[in-house]
Amino acid sequence: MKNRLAAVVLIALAQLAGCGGGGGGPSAPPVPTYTIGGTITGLTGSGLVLQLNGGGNLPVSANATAFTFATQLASGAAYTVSVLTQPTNPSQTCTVTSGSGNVGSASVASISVSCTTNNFTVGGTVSALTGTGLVLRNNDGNDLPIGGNGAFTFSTAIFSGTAFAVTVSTQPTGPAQTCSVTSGSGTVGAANVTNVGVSCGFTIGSLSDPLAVQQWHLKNTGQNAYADGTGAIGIDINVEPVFSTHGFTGYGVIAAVVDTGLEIAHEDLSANVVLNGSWNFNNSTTDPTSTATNGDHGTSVGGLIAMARNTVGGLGVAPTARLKGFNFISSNQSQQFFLDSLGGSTTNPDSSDVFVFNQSFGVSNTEDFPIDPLEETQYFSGVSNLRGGKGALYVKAAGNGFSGCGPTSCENANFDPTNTLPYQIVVGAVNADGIKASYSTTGSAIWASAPGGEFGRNGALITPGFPPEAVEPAMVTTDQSGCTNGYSRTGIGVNNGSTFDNGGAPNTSCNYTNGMNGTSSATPVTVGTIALILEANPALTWRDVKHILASTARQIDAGRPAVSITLGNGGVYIAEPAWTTNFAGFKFHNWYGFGMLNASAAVNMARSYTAGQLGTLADTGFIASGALGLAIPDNSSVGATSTLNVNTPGVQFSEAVQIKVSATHTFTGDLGIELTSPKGTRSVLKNIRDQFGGSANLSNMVLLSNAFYGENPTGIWTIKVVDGEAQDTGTLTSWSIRVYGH
Amino acid sequence: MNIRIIALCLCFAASPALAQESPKPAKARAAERAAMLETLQKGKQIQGSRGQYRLLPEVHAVEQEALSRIGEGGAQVLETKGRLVLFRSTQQKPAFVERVAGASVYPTVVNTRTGTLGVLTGTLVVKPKNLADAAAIASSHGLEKGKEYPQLQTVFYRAKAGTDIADSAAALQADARIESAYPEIIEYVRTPK
Repeated sequence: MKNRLAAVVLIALAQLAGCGGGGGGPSAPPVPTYTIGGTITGLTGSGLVLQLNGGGNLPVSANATAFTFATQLASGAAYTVSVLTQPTNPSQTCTVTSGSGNVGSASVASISVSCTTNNFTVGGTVSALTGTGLVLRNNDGNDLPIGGNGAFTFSTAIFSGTAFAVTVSTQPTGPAQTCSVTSGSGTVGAANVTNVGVSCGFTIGSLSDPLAVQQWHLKNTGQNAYADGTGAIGIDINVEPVFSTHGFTGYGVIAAVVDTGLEIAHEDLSANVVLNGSWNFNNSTTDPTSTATNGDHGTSVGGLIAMARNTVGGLGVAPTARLKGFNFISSNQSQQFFLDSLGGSTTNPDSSDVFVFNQSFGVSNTEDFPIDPLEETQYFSGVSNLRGGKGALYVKAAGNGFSGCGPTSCENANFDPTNTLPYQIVVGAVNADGIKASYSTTGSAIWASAPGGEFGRNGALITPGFPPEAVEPAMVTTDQSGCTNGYSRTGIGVNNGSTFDNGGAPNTSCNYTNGMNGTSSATPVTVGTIALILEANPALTWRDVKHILASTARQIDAGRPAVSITLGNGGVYIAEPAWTTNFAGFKFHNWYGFGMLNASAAVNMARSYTAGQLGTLADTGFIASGALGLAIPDNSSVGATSTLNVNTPGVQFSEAVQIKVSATHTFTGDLGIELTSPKGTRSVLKNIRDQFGGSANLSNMVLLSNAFYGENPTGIWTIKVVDGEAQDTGTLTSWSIRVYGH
Repeated sequence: MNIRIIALCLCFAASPALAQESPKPAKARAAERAAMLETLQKGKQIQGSRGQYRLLPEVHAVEQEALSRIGEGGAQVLETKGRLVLFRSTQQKPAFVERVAGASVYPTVVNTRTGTLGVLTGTLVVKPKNLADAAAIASSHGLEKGKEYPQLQTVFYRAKAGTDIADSAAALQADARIESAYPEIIEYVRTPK
């Protein structure tokens, strides 16, 4: 206390002395002030700004080791030094020690600013990974195994300002994929790196398969597929997003090509052929390579399913699906071989492990005949027992018999009895313009449609006067290897109608064709799509897959008008309906089924679909009319009608409707058969003026319609049989109906 | 693809006018065929899986390339079914498969409702009530037992040389151990589509 008092007195005296004791004397000396500063360690970044007492901002240059504020303080004044802005490039955190106090009698130089460089993590997102074993590496040292799609972060953080470089250390296998990195290198800034992209998918344009860009069914860019004509951009199965976004390629799925043969050593197929899994019924070996010299249908079918991703040829819809070939079509076609090919055999061959059966075949008949009961039982067994009870998928060509009968189809998909089973997926063909292919058989048994193309020829190489479809794109796929056989081959006098198939570039090896077409082509495109769906969700049942295809198919040719024909009574008969939306909201057309496949939409639906939600398949059994004897008015739209009541509590959702019709008639090609559901949906199951003929009556002919899918079948169903041509007459003698569903 | 070429040729051959024509010409062709069938001798009745058939003793089937080899190069070919040609022979034969000049010659049948021709392959398709009886059935009917399909409760048998297929089928159909039996008939051939 005494000391303090003495100090005050001394100060007062000093002030008085300074003032000279009163006005008019010399001015007082300035109060001394002192600088505030200190040392800096570790500063490498730029932009550091220090503050003194909340102001007096002091920018500090990178690499500075000392600082001094411009503002000086008098002795005794309080000071506080703080960091206003932390440095960047690299990002650093600077802290101040001994940064506050009161100025004494000298400058302050004891403040310490210490800077350390920040570190950050490096990461990003993996997409379209379906294989296993992917390992990413950062800066040649930090390896990170990747278990699946989604976000990843390397364990070792990186100092700001240093470089990072993410690479693929190990590519995935099972299936083999080539993952690529985007935004994978740079310098770490002031935040975690989260935008490194690792994509294991691919786009069509990025492929090294040289013919892939001409495969319009995969991605229609308006290319010509080595023909003269071109298609419409976007008319394809929309499969590229499945490859690029999800990376699905049909891995793990086995598809059987039940056909004329399969060249198992073909350069673009062999990688996907199941070793010793095929069968040649003609010589009991596992090599079904065809000995034909003018083309092997099955080899071309197989390519559309699973041409491999490599540096030759094109690409299958499911380029890692595995193939088995059963040459049933070129065998004697015994029933035993039929069963062996379609899932009924476990040895020589083993067809019981097949997921999807490709049936690009059919019969051509001009009268009805019943399905063989053993064959029907095999199909039922296949959907009931194969794939661990989830059921194999049976995909079947509708036929190529449209032409020759006017505006409606000569052949009907219902003419082949195996097409009238609910266990099938019957497929029609679409050309590159998004219209039914000129030849494609139509009918209510069709489930969906897929690219099948036209004829793919070059006009200069074919006979003048050809129809326009001759030079429209067909399908580019595998052919028998070499130029001495196949659809594409060379030789004196050989002209296959296209430069490509004549061994022209880029097909100088003649291993490929640009002329494959038919519902034979639409079928493997569908099989490939199903392989993608099953890879996306292996738990799906065969009915789930059908449901997904129906739910996601794309309506094409939406403006197609109905085919109306004025018959002899003056009445207008709608011989082929336009697109019809049924009571359950499904759109259906006899030319297209539920529409053209949309692989991307189907896979997306499959990924989130709860398998088995359709429950157990039930059916009403055949509900019969009994004997009728209804005259069918000749050449009249009036027709003969009859009704049946369906009331089966176990079937509230129609999945397929079969009818069995018996009618006497002296020319059954005159007869059209239609069915109207209790909800008012009309479906034509047999066209008037088709290729049926001869004297055989309809004898319990089974016809199937998918047009009622999803409707509740309870109620009154009406059949109408119309005679669409003059002269021949007959009667509807009986009919019955069976609804499959749940 | 074969079909592709054929279809293309058909497209080229058919004028628009032809494409619009009524299919009634098929009726004339059917009548012509029915008349031809009338001229064929009919043999035993056979119950097949798709209905009733009659044996055609003078119509046989052989692989196309063997037709000349078996001495029938000049025979009237009625139709082809896949690899087989059905020809009208001057010889009438019973319903068994025979080997001639290294080729199998098969008997044929006609579907009595549709008039379709079929080939008897010599195979019999049997659904025993109990699969355990399969071997005994073979023994008692003089057949060679072939492949079994348990999931279908079905066994394939092969008629031995000289065994009449129609008679074997009838005997099997009358066997109390058997639920169903019929001879394999290649009637509708599948082709690429």
